[in-house]
Amino acid sequence: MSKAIGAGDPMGGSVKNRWRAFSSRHLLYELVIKDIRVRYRRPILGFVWAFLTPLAMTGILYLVFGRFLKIKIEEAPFLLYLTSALFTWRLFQDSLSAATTSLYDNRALLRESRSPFYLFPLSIILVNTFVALPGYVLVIVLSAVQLHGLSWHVLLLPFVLAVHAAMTAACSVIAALLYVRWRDIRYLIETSLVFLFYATPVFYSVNLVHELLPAYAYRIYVYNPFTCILTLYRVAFIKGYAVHVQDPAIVPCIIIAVVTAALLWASAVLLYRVNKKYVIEHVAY
Amino acid sequence: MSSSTSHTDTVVRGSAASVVELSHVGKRFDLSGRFVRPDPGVSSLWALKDVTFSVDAGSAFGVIGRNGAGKTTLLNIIAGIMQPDEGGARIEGRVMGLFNLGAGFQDELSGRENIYLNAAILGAGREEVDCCMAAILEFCELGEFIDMPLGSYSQGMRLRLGFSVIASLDFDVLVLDEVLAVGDALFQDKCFRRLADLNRQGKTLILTTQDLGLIERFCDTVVLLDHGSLVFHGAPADAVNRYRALLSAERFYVGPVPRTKTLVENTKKWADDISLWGSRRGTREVTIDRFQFLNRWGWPVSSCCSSQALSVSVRFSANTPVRDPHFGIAFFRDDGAYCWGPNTLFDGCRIPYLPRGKGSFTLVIRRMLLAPGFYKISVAIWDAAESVPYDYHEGCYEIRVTGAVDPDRPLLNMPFYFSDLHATCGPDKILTMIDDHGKEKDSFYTGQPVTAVIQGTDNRDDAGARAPCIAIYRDDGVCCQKMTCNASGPRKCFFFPRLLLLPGKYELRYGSARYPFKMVFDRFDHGTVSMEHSWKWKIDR
Repeated sequence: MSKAIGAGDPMGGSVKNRWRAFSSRHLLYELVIKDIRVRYRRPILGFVWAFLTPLAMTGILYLVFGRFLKIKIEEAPFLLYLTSALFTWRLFQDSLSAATTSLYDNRALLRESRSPFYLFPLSIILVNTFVALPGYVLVIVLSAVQLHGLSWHVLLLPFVLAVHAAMTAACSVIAALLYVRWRDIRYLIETSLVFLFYATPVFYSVNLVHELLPAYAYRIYVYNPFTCILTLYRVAFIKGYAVHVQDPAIVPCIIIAVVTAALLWASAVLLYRVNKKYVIEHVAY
Repeated sequence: MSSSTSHTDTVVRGSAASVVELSHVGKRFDLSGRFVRPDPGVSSLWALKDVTFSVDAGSAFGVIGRNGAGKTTLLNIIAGIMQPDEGGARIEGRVMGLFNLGAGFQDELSGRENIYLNAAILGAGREEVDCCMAAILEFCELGEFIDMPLGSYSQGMRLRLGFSVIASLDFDVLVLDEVLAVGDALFQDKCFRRLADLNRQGKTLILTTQDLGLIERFCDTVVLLDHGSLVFHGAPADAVNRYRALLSAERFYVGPVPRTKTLVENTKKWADDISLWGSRRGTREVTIDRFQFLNRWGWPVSSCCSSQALSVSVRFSANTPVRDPHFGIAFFRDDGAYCWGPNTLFDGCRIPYLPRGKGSFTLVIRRMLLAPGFYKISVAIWDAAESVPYDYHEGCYEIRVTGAVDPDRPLLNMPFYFSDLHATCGPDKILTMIDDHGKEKDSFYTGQPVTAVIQGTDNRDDAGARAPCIAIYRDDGVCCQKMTCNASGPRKCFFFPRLLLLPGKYELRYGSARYPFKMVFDRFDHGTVSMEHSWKWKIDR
């Protein structure tokens, strides 16, 4: 600092500007508003699509697995079991795939501004979380109807959602940053999202896996972060679902989810710090 | 931060405080596109190397250079969008940049929504935008388009919106990257007026453009970049000269050709846009206060007779001292046909300096050559390079030349003599033109004595009673002058002691006969006719 400003600094240059009051809050707000407008203004059904797409997906899976293949779930009614996973899964999937390309999609904006660009993926997470909320309410209502009332476990939902959103956001920032340099990321993520969808117990029972796998493999399976989040959601939606099951226990699930979210955030911040200089140059093409 | 600031203060001791300071700034672009850290020696390009300069607060700073010289990279670093790879940049205050124009806009959103988004991208919140929303809307003049989706906008409208947002927000340093070329003349002018105002308010402007006249006119200091290095840093005129030399050395130059001694073969024949008549534009360093026509005794008049003397007197005030201004006055017929547009630059009258204060200039016309009718007058005070006017009253004034108006509405009433010729004189043609040596020619010099010769036989047959009528037309069909005679001889001639038509293509018409000719001149001028005139100016003490 006391040296001449960065003169001959071989490690790289610097820009010093005392005007620190760049308003990230405002930009985030405008980006969220923009995204909602762009998505839902022109369609005739507008915001209804926010429900319709997951509902249609639920209908398809319910028909295929519930009616034709007749999968039996002991812990909860099949429809509730399915929706509790599907609606939350969509939040993760949609956010991640949209956020991966968000820096590239908004390159025109990026190149005009010295705004911190992690705001772009973050704004997508915010929008998707907001859009997902009505779906969550729908699942709660379904749960209240099918199970005749709600338990106190539903109070866990805000916390679970917060951890889930944090994990999604960190993954998105990482994916978006990597995508700037490494365009394969997009296809890798698409493929792994499909894999993860079938690897997590969305439409089949955990007990089924319990019977198939040896004990240690089952523990690994059930305590991986994605399953943990799903378990927590089910605890909240389905009257403390895991209380009756032996192995995905609630407390380890919470710990694993929080630790994972923290780790992901740490790596996202690290990646951002290292790459922030190069993003502008590499996002252009 | 304070330690760094104090260090800088000692560096620039004695001079005005600098708002932007670059020291040994370098920027390297990696061309390999590899994910892992690329090998720096191979496949990388130094877009900037060892660039050091500072920009004083409140100055207008220009950056020039060829395409790919590193101008945009430099501005990006100043605007804080890019980080240099070497050296350091220190910027004081709030910087805003206008780069690839309107690229930051979303087509799906309306103009108004884009204003909020764009302002947020620039770092301004909703409250700040709401405060200056009225100013933005007024400046961009988009009317009801403001609530239409941006996808329906033209490039020019996007520019209007982008510039309005940036010019209305509060900033200390504004960075503009060759964006103003898209707007129409009126809006460009408005932009420059706003920029001049902002500059006067003490805001710092940093701009790049390929318009060298603009750079000379607008900037206090200019840097010239080439291949990423700083080639020159100093006065605008010198920088522009260096740049021109650089360009001609590499045979890339396609800019304006310097004035030459070759003959002028054409002039401007029409007004740019008559819908702008009555408007006033300019950056107002010098303003036009009063405009008057004076007759030969110096009395204000609103009309005059053809072939009388007339003066045009303009009072102005210089709000800031300016160098090398020049004055211009233009006469147009009410349909936009350009009659005459003398200015002090074309006439070689150099006004080296206008100090702050009031003054006046007068155009003395010895003999009014315009035909009877109404004429619109534009008055302008220009900068040296004629890039942006200080003040420009376009078609704001009117004069009536009294007399009977011919239905063909000829523009001019040049003096000529008429006589009968012996049947044996001159070439045996229906229509011809001869110069002062008696030679038949089709190209004349402005101000040369010229004679038009007609053989009356053609006209005699159908309209024996009617006086033969001969007329000069411009090649775009505008009637310049009609001449009639009552003589009955078979051969007649019209002698112009000085044919004062300005360069261009013309045609002599007599009945169905046509004789095309052209005019050339060694001086630049605008319009159709060149009247004998002189300029006077004085500055009030």
